[in-house]
Amino acid sequence: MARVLIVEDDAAMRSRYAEMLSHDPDFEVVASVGTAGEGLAMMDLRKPDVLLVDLGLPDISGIEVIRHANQTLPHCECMVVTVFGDEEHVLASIEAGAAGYLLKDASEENFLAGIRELINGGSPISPIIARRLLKRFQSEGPAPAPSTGGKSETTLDVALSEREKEILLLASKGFNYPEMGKLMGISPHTVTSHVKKIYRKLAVHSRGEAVFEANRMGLIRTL
Amino acid sequence: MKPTAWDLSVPFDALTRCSAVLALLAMMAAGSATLHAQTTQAAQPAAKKRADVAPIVIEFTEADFLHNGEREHPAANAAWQNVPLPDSWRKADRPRNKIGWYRLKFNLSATPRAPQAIYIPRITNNVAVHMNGILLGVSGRIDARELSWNTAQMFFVPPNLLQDGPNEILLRLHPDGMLRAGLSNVYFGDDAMMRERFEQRLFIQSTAPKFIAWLLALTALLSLALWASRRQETVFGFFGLLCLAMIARLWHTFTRDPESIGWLMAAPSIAWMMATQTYFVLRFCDQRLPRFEKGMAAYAVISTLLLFFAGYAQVVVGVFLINTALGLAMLAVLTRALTRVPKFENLLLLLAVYINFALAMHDLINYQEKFEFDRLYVLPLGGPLMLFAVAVLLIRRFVGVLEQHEALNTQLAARVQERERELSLSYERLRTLDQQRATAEERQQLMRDMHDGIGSHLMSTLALARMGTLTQHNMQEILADCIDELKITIDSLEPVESDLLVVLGNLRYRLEPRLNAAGISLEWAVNDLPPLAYLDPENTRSILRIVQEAFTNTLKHAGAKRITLSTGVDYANARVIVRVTDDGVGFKPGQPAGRGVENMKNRAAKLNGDVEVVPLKGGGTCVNLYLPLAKMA
Repeated sequence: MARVLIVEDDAAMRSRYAEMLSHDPDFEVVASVGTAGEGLAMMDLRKPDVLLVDLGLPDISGIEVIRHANQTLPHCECMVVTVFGDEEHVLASIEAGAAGYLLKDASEENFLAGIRELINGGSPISPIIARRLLKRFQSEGPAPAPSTGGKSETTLDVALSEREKEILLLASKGFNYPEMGKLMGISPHTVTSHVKKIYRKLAVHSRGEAVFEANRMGLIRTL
Repeated sequence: MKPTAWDLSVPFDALTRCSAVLALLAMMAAGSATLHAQTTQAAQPAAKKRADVAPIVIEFTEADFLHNGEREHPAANAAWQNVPLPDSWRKADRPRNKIGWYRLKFNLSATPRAPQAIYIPRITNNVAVHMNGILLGVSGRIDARELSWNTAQMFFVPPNLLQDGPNEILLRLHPDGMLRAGLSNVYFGDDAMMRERFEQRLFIQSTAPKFIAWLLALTALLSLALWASRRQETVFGFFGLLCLAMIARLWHTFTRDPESIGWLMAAPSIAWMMATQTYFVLRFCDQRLPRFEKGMAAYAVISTLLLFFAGYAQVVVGVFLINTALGLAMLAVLTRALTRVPKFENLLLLLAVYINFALAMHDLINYQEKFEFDRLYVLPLGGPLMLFAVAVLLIRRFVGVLEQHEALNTQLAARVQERERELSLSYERLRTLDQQRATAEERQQLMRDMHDGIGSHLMSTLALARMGTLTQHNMQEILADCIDELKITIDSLEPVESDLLVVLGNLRYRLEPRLNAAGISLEWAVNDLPPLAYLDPENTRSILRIVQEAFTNTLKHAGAKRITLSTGVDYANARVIVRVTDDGVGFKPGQPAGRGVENMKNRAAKLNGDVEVVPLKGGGTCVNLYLPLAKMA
């Protein structure tokens, strides 16, 4: 039984999530709150297994909530629930430590399947996000081009395995997990766990970057 | 006696000279001018080894002279008279067409075993030398009157011709009608020491002038070639001519051929030198004195004609007087011209002109036998000075041109750089404008899209809702449509860098949940596509709408279980094919295409592409979207 914390400022959406989760005996909603502050408090208090968070919260960004969860609850799976699943929001969440994302308009079936998949070690990926990641990881090969773009285009010091690159390439061409598994001769589940690993690499890299940045600015003395 | 051609030339041989000790020393330095510095009994270890006695050097300052015109050896008791050496026949006023004899006596306490030699610095014209009655040699082909007046002589004396006690050197001198007939001091002594003196003199008197003549010839060639290719540089033309005139003047001093053309040019070439030097120097310092120049040229021509046709002997003295006067005038004119702008090379050239003039005067005086008989003629040695001045000029000009060139280059580079900056600035401005225009266009496009798409969709939904005719199911459907529409619009804004597969893949990612929910499976059979450079947001949206429409049609009308999307490239027609097939009911051929198909065709046409919808055998529909590899303007 997975214990779920919902942080979502839209009351209608909040109650819909709760309702959908209540239909599944595998899930238990431990708290459902409307602000990041409440979310952080509830997280410390209830220590959920799954965090569903909206990015556009009234007090502070959902990104902070994810980051906090990632630091204090290493076994908690964070999922962003977004309207469009657009790469800006999704990549920022993944960098903060989210393992996946859900679309707000997903059907109940897809919604629950998404959460279950995540708990089982898999993450979703869209072609556009796959392409973005591919570009970011690829650009680490040659000498890093200085200041060619914003932070989202910085090169990464974590390398992808050949398999992971292949997965991103296939994903960018629109293949879904079963098809990719078939093409690569592995199970769809293995594919999705690879994707999760890729996400984690991105998060680790970003965390390293954040720590470095914070150290530089004198925000943290010791780790 | 009627003088021959070479006889005539003798008077001009060295008519214009005056002493210039400083210049002379400078010019002789290279050739080592210590001609008379040796002491008589120099002790040389090498000589000592070979001879019992110390090396001998005897300088004869007097001789017995007999002027009998006979070729046979005169008797010892003939009418010899004692004369000092050097002995000039002109000074002694002797007829210069009659053979004369010199007898030089000396005593040897012991016969040297080392070879000995006789060295005569100057003799005019030829001589036959005997030692103790035996002929040692001649200075030149005597009866051919080969010229020896400017050639030092050395005769080897085998030791076995010498004897203890009195010895006698007998010289038969052929004056050959030369004006300056005579004999210089004569030296007898150790062969090595004689040879050293002889070779020093030979170098300065003969070798160096020949070398200088070649140098002048080469310079003349270069200067004239330079002038030929750059006619406005007359300075080099006249310098070439001056070099030629100097060669003409030098020629007679080292020719031994009495018929040589060098003798013909010896006298007139002085005027040629003065005229060409005037032209050259004035151009060197960028000045013109047309009347003086023309006067000098005219004099050169007239004096040449006079010397050639009016008879040498009659005019030569006059010509040389005028030469001297004109030379002084030229000196004054050139001094003024060269000092007007006292540049380094002007002053250097002026120095060269002065020194050359001084050398010429020295030779003139020498010719008149105001110096010792064996005094060297030095004008030939003055040529290099002139060459040096011109070389400095050339180098300075060359460096000046280079510097100017470099300065010009630098200036040019700066100007180009400035231009470049301006260009890049205006390019930057253009680019900004372009970007602004593109952004505005994109926004406008997006607005139109929203207005026609999601906007009107929501409006009609609202209208239906207000009328109360909207069912719950319809409402959900319409809202889901709107959200899909929004997603597609947002996805179209992602820069995909010409990758159509990403665009199609993302559409699948968006639409597949709904297709699956409707019980339709989507088969993905894409092949890699070449980049399509025209995939901007607007064109991307157009393509997405076409494919979306194909999916929607299937979803709504076909009752299909399965949709297949495949891609491929038709290189023969330079196009990409996106094919959507379903296994639905299809339509009958000839059935009019619906509005949806019309819309798809219109959108494709804007991309220079096309859409065809064909029924499949055994049911189902195939929608082919053709897109160009490169969109035509």
